[in-house]
Amino acid sequence: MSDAFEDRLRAHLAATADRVTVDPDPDALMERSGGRSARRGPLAGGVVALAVIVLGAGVLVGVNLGGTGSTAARRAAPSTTTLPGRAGASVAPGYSGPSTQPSGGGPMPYTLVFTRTTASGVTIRAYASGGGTSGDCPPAAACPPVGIVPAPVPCPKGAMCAVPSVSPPAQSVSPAQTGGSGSTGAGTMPTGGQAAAGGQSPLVPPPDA
Amino acid sequence: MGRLGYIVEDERGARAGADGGDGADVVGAVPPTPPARGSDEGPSGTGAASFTAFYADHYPDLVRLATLLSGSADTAPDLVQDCFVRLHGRWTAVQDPLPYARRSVVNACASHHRRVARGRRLPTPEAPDSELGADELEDALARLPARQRAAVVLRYYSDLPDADIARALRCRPGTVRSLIHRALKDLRERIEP
Repeated sequence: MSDAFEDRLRAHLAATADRVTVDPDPDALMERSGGRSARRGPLAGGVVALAVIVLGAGVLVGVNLGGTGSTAARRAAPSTTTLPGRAGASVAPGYSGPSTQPSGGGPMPYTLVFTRTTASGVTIRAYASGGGTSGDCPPAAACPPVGIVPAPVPCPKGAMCAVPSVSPPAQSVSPAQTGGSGSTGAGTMPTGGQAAAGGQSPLVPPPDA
Repeated sequence: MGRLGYIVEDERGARAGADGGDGADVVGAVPPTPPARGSDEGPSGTGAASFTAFYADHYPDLVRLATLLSGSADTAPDLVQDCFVRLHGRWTAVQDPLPYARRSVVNACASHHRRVARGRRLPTPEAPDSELGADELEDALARLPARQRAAVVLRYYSDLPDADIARALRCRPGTVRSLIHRALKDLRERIEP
């Protein structure tokens, strides 16, 4: 059962196919088939070579993992080191220098705020840096200004130490307010008059210094 | 060449991961009796002769089929030659070569359309909706999806029954009827709005 449209479609397809001139060429087919077979040789060789390389690498990795059994253990080891005599205090691996934590003798640059221990046994100790000055600086002493907080102890190489935040120094001072003694150099200290920002400059030392 | 007359293979999965399925399944199940072509047929000896005869008999028809499926008379011979090269390599394993070759041509033409679409960075041919050209039926056919066009060509050019079309398209006969129905509806809407 076909309608006129299907007959038209059938006639169109037949006419289109009849316009195609076909010339079978078995020789060309055989040449193409031979070429494909010839191309398959180097490809198969490459696959075999790649398999050998991968298997060799796998064997080497297996020997490394299974020979001593220590690589996995090393990877599973904790990444922190507990110093003897200080239960729970952890520092960076490899750190053997003095600590900035208030546990032993010497200066106490930071104040312990709280200590928390998580359910998994991790102890968190929070310290405050003393309200903008360097640790336990006595009130009457010449405290360094805010922003120039020197590290109380030199941070050993490779350890994780507190990095003091340094605010940028005053960049310019208005000549009209400094009485002719203002300076424009970065980091210089005004010797007289007021700073441009109004009030005391962060770099001005205390009056009794 | 050894006796390989009873090998039944299904390379569907391997082909799908390689180049989009240009190949075709070996048609037929394990036969209860030796096949009529005999197990001594192969690329050498009488098998080579039978392959050459098969090539001479069916190459023109398959090139015309590929021309209708691909829409390009220049590309069709290359596609069919590639299909015959694959068939030549599996000549001893294929029990019914004509459906195998037909399916291989259909898959090759579908892959050709995908390559062309990728090369032009365009969607599949059913998307454009510009005006039809002089040969409106040819243009409307070219805008059908590849499977619908294959179903239409296999039905109205090759005069295949639903079962053979389903075998060539790897689907069920009901799907073939659905494909043809939708294709005819689309063609009618484009040509006779």
